[in-house]
Amino acid sequence: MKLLIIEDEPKTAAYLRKGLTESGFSVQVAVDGDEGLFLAREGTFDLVILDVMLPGRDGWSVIHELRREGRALPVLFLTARDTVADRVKGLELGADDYLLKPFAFSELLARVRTLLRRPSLRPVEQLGIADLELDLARSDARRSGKPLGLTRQEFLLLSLMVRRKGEVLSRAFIAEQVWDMNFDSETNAVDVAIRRLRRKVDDPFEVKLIHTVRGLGYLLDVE
Amino acid sequence: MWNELRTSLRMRLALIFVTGSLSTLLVGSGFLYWAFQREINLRNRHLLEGKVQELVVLLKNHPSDLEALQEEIQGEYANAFEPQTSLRILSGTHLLMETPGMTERLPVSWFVGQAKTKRHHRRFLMAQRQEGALVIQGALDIREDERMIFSYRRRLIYTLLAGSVLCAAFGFWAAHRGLKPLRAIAESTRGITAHRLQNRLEPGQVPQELRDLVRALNDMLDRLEQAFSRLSQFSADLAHELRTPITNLMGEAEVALSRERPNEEYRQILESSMEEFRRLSRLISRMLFLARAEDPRTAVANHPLDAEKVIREVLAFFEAAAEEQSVAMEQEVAGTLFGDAELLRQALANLISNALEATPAHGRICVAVRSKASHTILSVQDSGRGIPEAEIPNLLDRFYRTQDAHDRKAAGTGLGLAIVRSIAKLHGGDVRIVSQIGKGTTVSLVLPKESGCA
Repeated sequence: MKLLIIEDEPKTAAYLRKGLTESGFSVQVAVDGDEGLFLAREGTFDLVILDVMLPGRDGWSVIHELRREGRALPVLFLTARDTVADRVKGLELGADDYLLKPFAFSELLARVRTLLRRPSLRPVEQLGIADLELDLARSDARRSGKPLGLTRQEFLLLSLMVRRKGEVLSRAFIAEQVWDMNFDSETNAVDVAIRRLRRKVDDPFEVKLIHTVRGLGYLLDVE
Repeated sequence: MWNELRTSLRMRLALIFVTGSLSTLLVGSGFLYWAFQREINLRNRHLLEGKVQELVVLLKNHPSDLEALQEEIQGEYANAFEPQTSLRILSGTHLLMETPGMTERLPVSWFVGQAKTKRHHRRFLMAQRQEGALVIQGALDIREDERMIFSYRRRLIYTLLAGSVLCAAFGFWAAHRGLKPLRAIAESTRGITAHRLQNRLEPGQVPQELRDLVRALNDMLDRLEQAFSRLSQFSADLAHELRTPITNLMGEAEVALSRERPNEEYRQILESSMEEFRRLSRLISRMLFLARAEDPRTAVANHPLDAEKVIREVLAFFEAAAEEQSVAMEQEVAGTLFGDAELLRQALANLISNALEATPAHGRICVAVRSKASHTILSVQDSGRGIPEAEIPNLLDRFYRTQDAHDRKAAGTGLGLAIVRSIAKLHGGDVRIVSQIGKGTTVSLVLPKESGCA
């Protein structure tokens, strides 16, 4: 997958390039709007990460041009200006998603993957990793064939982590996806929920699947 | 000039004064002039008509006494070289008798067709009477009077001119002087700057009419001073909030870089940094939320909401945490909630998170919606430690933490309740806190009901 990052702040561009390259993307950086627009027109990119405030041609203008030319490639906006008007403007101009600075890299990665994910023709009904199996239709989770006896919320949480296996999920992302809490909160509710989930999913078994990544969030993987 | 007239209060006042006094002066002198002229005319007319009448009476009573007539007519001549009054008697067109030289000064033809007393060329007042076959003609020389009137008029005009100049000068001076208190207020106001906001204007020292203005200015200064001190207190608090995480970050990085370390240690330092960064990031997003909520242009949705669903969803988020703490959570809904679901969920989440922190094991948290006449109350009640009464008024301030939270080294940003209040304010409502030590705390959002037309 080829990503284009249009970002003039060198440190931001550098860590985005590094993080995304290490996550398996091929990344190119443009440092101003005109260069970015030129590269985006080549048509070889799968997604554009676009900063709003750019020298010369700004982010609004870049996306406006791209959409005017009928290019449908997904665009993820990065913005430091958080007003409703800005968001509405971005989405109206055809942005697919936006992220407010400062953001967590894991958040960015999650959104990039969501935008790139092609809608599958057949809804996935069976999910699994190692000896863990999830049956989405029946909300049933088993390890080594044994039912785990999860509550509905726990099942939702586990299925999110299995679907995003190998990705670090931030607490905010988990709260948003499972409980629809789209705002930050100072509570440890997510940590408690994960702790309880671990008791059922990991504690009785040899192989641990749920891992804490300190400072970032949680990750489900065989390790 | 016109522009100044529109914008300058002094010009306007002066002009009003000048216009007023000048028109009074003008009307007054006009009337005096008219009355004076009329008085003189009347007097002359009576004089002339009296003379003519005397002749008529003489002719009627003593038609044959020609000597007396002669004397009456000639007598005018005896008084002066050029007589003031001239009289003559005609029979048809034939001259019977006249004041000497009258025909040269006043030919008979001047009187032809004249029925009333008239002025002629500003020199004579002339009258004519028909008495049987006789015609009596009289004339009065009014040149002297006309001169007097003319000179009176000239003096009036000079007086008017001088008066106008005086009026204008006085008008400007009065306006200037009358506006002096305003300039004094401006002068005092100039002395008030951001650094000297405590200065006030003295209402006792200005005229009565300006006292309201001065009071309004002082009130505005009070509000500004409060806002300023809040703002500077806020900047100080913010700097303080930033100091701790940034000190940690700088210190850790410095120590880390001071010598070579095993990779595992670098990793730990980065992980610790991440925690600080999260704290900063959360602080920023909460500050931004508050700033946005305070922007008067921010509008919120005001829909009727399924209160039970809103509360159930938020409670679900805290379900695991509450169970871990053995705290029971309940909801009691009586009434419809109006507002923005997303914002109310956020407010509820902050309140429940606080309640969970304050409530010991086997405690209870109750989320309730109650309907009152004009408003709906959304409250979160806990059976926790309670908050000392003295701390309650400060709870809603940004960055305020209870002594209890300090003692427990609670990790919050101190913005949770400030956000709850700003959400209540966005809905046109407010927050009420009731607490009892050892019994628990109830925080209520008092939200106005929908007005019906929105």
